[in-house]
Amino acid sequence: MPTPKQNCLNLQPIVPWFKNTRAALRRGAIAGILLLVYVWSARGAHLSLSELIQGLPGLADIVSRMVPPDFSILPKLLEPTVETLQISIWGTTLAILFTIPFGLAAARNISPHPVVYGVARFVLNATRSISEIIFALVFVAAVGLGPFPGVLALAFHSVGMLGKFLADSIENIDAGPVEALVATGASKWQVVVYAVVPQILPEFVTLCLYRWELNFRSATILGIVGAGGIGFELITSMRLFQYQDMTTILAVILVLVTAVDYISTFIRKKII
Amino acid sequence: MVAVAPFHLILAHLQCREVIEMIQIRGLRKEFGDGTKALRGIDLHVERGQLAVLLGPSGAGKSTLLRCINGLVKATAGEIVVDGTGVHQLRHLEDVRSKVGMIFQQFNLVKRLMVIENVLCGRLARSNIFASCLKLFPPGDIEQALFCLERVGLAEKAYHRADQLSGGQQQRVGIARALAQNPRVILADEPVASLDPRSAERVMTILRDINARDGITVIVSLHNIDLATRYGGRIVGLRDGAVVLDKPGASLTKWDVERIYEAGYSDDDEMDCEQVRYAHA
Ligand SMILES: Nc1ncnc2c1ncn2[C@@H]1O[C@H](COP(=O)(O)OP(=O)(O)OP(=O)(O)O)[C@@H](O)[C@H]1O
Ligand SMILES: [Mg+2]
Repeated sequence: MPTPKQNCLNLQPIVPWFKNTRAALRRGAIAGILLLVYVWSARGAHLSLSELIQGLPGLADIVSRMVPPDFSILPKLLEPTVETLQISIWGTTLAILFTIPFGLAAARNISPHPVVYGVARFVLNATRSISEIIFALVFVAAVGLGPFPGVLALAFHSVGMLGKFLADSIENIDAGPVEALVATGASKWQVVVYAVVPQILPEFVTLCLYRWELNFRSATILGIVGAGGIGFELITSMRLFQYQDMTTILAVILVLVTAVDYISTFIRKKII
Repeated sequence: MVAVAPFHLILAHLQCREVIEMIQIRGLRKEFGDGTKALRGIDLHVERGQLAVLLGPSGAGKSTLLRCINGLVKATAGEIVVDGTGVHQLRHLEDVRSKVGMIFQQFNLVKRLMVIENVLCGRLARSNIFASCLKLFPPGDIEQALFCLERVGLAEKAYHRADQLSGGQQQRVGIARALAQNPRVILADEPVASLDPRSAERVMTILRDINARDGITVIVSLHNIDLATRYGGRIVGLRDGAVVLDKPGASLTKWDVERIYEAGYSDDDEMDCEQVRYAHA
């Protein structure tokens, strides 16, 4: 059946809101509130078109000094680059190890006790809300400069997100197999290993790989606060106004982030 | 002085009954948190080696009754004794459960595990906890799992993933898992409700075979009168949380069926009732 030709001048909303005064008033009020929030935030954030325009020549100047990139520093970048990768690998691995007990305790359907559940959820929320840079500052102060505080920072921050997602996916599993295993007289750990783990494993592996991608990106800036990796080279070249070096470093980061994404996608496809 | 001798006699009497009775249910009540009275005082004794069929309209309490027997649902009041052990005693719960196999309408297999792993789940209660969590089993257990699969005709599917099997096959794996427990009792909650007639027939035949050859007591809830009369040595009719009928399967009359499924009971049961009359005619 051919569709009748549309008359573009006679379009109608699904719900004719302008005919309904109450709906129209509510829409008006919502629009007003949104407008107020935006104006208020613009004030607070000093949004200013004129400043942006005044800054454009400076920006153009920096960009012009960033090109061409100076690739002669590449050999010097090899070590911090590898270190960044190493930080991300151990940061993610430690995070996964910490996540398992917290994730199990924070899943309502298998948590041993409501108090344990509450504490675990609180810890996960707390570590998630503190950014890795703040953790890095704390650990640099505690264990000194270098990549190890970076590893700890990534591990602590990642636990929050990994643990929350692990707990949520455990709460969403099919209860049928769990009940069937409980009915055989299997003990709690056996039920977890045989009925819970198989159900969440694909999702959790995907999540851990995704977290590794995020952690690699974070690891590239940890050096800014002295926690190892390529970020230290980046902040140094910025401080010394060596913008051509900076471009090279950014290019290296771009290539590596892309490579890590690719590797993680590859592993994910192999496993699932 | 007078009380001493009778007490002694009562004890002997009780032990004697436990020899022939596998399941004893006395005054069982269940009220759910939302106030639903699912069971209103059930008294039921099932002898060793019996195959009993539970019939009843939707919401009668069949699933609740079966779940009380292995403690998946905690009774509000009353007493349940399975093979001489009280289900209400928490420290015996896993012990009772390991002696009672359960089969579900939705099969409840772990889909991503292999068929044989699912069957071995039936051995967990009797396995070393550390070894089993590493998925290590004694060769005897693996042999037994394969034997159980052979009994349900699925030996060649042992190393397939459970979700690659058809519904009827999955239910037979469910039976093999229950068999691997070496159970005294098998509880089956509408085991054929999701299956086509031929698979249903096959599952019921296997259950009857297990009952007859291994002497395992079987309680199975069904929605199909025809299957119930053909397979059930005994039929227990449940309605509104109470036993309304209890007689040998062969002697079930149309009138009995109407008593269980009487019309006007509730809206969505009327259709069931029509189907039941049709099936029975
Ligand atoms: N977890 C629960 N919480 C509250 N009420 C429940 C719960 N489980 C069952 N019920 C109620 O208890 C009653 C008996 O339910 P049950 O599942 O035992 O019936 P059934 O005979 O198995 O029905 P069906 O044939 O539909 O499976 C119903 O009224 C049901 O709504
Ligand atoms: Mg039911």
